[in-house]
Amino acid sequence: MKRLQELSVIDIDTAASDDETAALPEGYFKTDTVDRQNTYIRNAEVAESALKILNTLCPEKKGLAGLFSQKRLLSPEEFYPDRKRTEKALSVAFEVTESERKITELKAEAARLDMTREQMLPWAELDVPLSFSGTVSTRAFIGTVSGVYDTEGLYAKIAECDPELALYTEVVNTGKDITYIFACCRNSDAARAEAVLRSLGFARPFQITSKLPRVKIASKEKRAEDCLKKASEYTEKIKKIAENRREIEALADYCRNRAERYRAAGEICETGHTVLIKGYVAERDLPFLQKTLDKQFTVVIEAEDADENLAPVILKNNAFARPAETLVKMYSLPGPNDIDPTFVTGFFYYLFFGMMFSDAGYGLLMVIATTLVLKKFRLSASMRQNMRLFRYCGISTVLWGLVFGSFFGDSIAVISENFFGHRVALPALIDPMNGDAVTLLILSIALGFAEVIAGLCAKFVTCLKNGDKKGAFFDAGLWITCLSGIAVMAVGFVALPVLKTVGIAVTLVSVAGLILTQGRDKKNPVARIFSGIVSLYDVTGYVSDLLSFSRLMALGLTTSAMGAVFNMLSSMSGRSLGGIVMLVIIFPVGHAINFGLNVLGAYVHTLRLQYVELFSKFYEGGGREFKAFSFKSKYTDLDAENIKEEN
Amino acid sequence: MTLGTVLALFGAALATILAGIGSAKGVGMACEVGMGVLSEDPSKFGKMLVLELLPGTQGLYGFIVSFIVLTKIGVFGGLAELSTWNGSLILAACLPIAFGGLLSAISQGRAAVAGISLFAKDESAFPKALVSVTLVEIYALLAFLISFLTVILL
Repeated sequence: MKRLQELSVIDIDTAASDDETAALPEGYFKTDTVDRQNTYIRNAEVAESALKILNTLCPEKKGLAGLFSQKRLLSPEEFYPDRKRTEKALSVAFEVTESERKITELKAEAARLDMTREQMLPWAELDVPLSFSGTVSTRAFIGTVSGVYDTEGLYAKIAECDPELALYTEVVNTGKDITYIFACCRNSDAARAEAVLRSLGFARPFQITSKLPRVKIASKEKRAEDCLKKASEYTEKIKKIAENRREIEALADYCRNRAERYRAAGEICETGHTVLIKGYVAERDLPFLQKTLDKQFTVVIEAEDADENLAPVILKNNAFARPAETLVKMYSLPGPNDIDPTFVTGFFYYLFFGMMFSDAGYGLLMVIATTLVLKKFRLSASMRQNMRLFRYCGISTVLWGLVFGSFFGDSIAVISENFFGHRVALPALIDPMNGDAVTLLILSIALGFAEVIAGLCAKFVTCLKNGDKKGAFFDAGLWITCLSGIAVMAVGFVALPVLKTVGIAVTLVSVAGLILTQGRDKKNPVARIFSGIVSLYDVTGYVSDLLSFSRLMALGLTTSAMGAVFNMLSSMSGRSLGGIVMLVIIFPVGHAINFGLNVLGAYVHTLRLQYVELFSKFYEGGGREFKAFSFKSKYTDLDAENIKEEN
Repeated sequence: MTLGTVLALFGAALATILAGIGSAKGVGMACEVGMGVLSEDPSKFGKMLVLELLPGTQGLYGFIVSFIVLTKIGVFGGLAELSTWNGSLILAACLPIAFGGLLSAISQGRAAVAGISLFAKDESAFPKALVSVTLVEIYALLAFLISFLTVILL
C-alpha cells in the first residue's frame, strides 16, 4: 500500500483522476481521506495567511519579473520536505499568524486606551480625583452641565435658579456645548444644590476613578505607548521571519499538493492488495504513462476509447494555432458535437489583430518584447502560450504596418521632413490617411466576408460530422453559395460585367433553394414555403456581420491618426535644440499612450469578431476541460528529470 | 477668415467635444464601479481595465474626424478660405460622430457597468460581458464611418 501510495506521488501529473466511481466493483472499497486532506488544507491555509501577512508587512521586491509569476524550481528533497522540516516551517508560519494576531490585539488595546484618555483629558486641570465626593461637612459635585459658561456666568445661572443657595463652583474646562465643573456646598444644602444642578443638565463623568485625573491620563498614555511599542516589536519579529519566506512557500505548496493527493486517493478504489485507478488519459500520453509506471510498479493499464459525450476535452493543434487555444478556452471548450475551432479562429485572430493595430513599429516592439520574455522567464504553460499569441499578432502587425506604410505612425516622413529637410516616406500599398480610406473599407468588409464564409464552411463540416447531411448542404451550403453569388455580383457591378450575370444566377438559384429547403421540418407545403421565405430574413444578420468588420478599418485608422498627431506634435518646433528636446520627450510618451490604447482595442475587438461573427455560425461549446491530477502549487515546482514537459 | 472656415472649425470642435464628453462619461461610470470591485479583489485589475476602457473609443473617433477636418482646412499651415456652403457641408459631416459618439458612449458605459458587476460575481463570465459591451460599439462605428468617409471625400 505504501508503495502504491507513492504511485500518485510520482505520476501525479499524468494520471487523470475522474469521478467515474459510481458503481464499485466487487471486493473493492474506497478509503475516506477527507480528514487527512483537511489537515493539509488547514496547514496550507496557515502558511498562506502567513505569507499574506509577510507580503503586507514587508513586500518582496520583484520588479519587472513580478509581472510574470515564476515558480521556483526545487529539488525533490526540498519539494517533498521531511517531517522535521515541515514542522519547523509550520511553526514559523504559526509564529507569523500568532504575532499578527497579537499586533491586532495590541493595536486595539492602544486605541481603547487612547479613547479613555481622551475622555479624561478635559479633567486634567482638576486637583481632586473624579471619585471625590466631599469632605466630612461638604458635598462635592463633579461633572458636566450643558451649555458653555465661565465662572461668573455659572454663578449667575445658579443664582437665577435658587438665589439662596450657597454653592461654590469652579469651571474646570469647557467643550462644545458643555462645561466641566467642580461644585461644592455644605452637606445640608446638598439636596437643593443637586436640584439646581439637575436643572442645568448636570451629568457625572463616565469614568470615575480614585486617582487624580492628570495621573490617570499620564498612565493611560504610557500604557498605550507600551502597547504600540510591543506591536512594533512583533512587527520587527515578523520582518525577521520574512527571511524564511521561501520555507513557508514551500510548505504551503507541499500541503496543497498533499491535500490534492489525498483527495485523489479518496476517489480511487482498492482491495487489500491492489488499487484501481480509473481516469482519462490523452491518447498521445498513453505510451509515456505505461513506460514510466512499468519502471517502478507492477501495473496493468487497460485503455479504451472514451465516450465522446462524457470525456473531458484536450485541444490538439499545431504550433501555429496552439496559442489561440487560450481564446477558445476563454469562450468555451468544444462540446461533443463541435469541431475544434482553434485553427480558423487563430488564423483570423492574427490577421485581424495586425490589421487593427497596423503599425510596423509597434508590431516590432511586440515581437521583441514577447520573444525576450519567452527567453528570459520560465513561464507557466498558459502564460507561454499567451506570449506566443502576442508574438504571432506582432508579426501580423508588422506585415500590415508595411502594407499601410506605417512605422510609428508617419514618423519617418515627418521626422525626415522637419529635421533633415527632405521628405522620405515609407512606400505604402494602401494609404488610408491620404485618400485610400474607401479601399481599406472594402478590404475590411472583404476579409470579413472571408471569415463569415469560413464560419459557414465550418458549420458545413460540423453538420457532416454529426451526420446531418441535409443541414450541411441546405443550411450551410446554400448560404455559402448565396453569399458568394452576391459577392460575385458586387464585383461584377464594379469591374467585369460577365460576373454580374453569373453572380445573379448563382444568387437566384441559392435563394430558390433556401426557400424550398428552409422549412423542411414542416408538413404543410404552404407553411414550408412560407418559412423558407421568412428564413431569407437571415440575410440582415449577415449584412450586420459584414458591417461589423468595418471596425478593422476604424481601429487601424485610430492607430495611424493618433500616431500622426503625436508625430506632428513632437516635430512641431523643427530643427532646433528645443525641437530636438520636444522630439525626445513627446515622441516616446505619445507613442506609448497610442500603443497602450490601441493594443487593448485591437485585442478586445478582434476577440469580439471571433466570438460574435465567427463562433455564432457553427460553434456551441460547453465541453469539460481536461484537468490533470497534478500539483496545486503556487510558488514552487518540482525540478525532476522524469516529469513530462508540457508542450 | 471666411464664415465657411468658421463653420468647419465649429464642426471639428463639436466632434471632439461631444464624442469626448460621451466617452469621458462612459469610462468614468465604468471606472467608478470598477474601483469598488478592485477594492475587494485587486487581482482583477487587468480584465477590469479592458471593460472600463471600452466606452473610450468614441472619443477617439471624434478626435480622428476633427483631426482630418483640421488638416483639410489647413490649420497646421495656411488656413484655407472655405465658402459658406463648403463649411456647412463639413459641419454637417461632423454631426454623426458628434451625437452618435456622445450617446453611444454613455450607453456603452452603462453596459460596461453591468458587465463589470457580472464579472465581479463570476470571473468566468468575462468573455460574455466583453462581447455584450462591444455590441453597443457598432453604432458608434457606423456614425464614425459616415462622418469619416464624408469628411475624407468632400
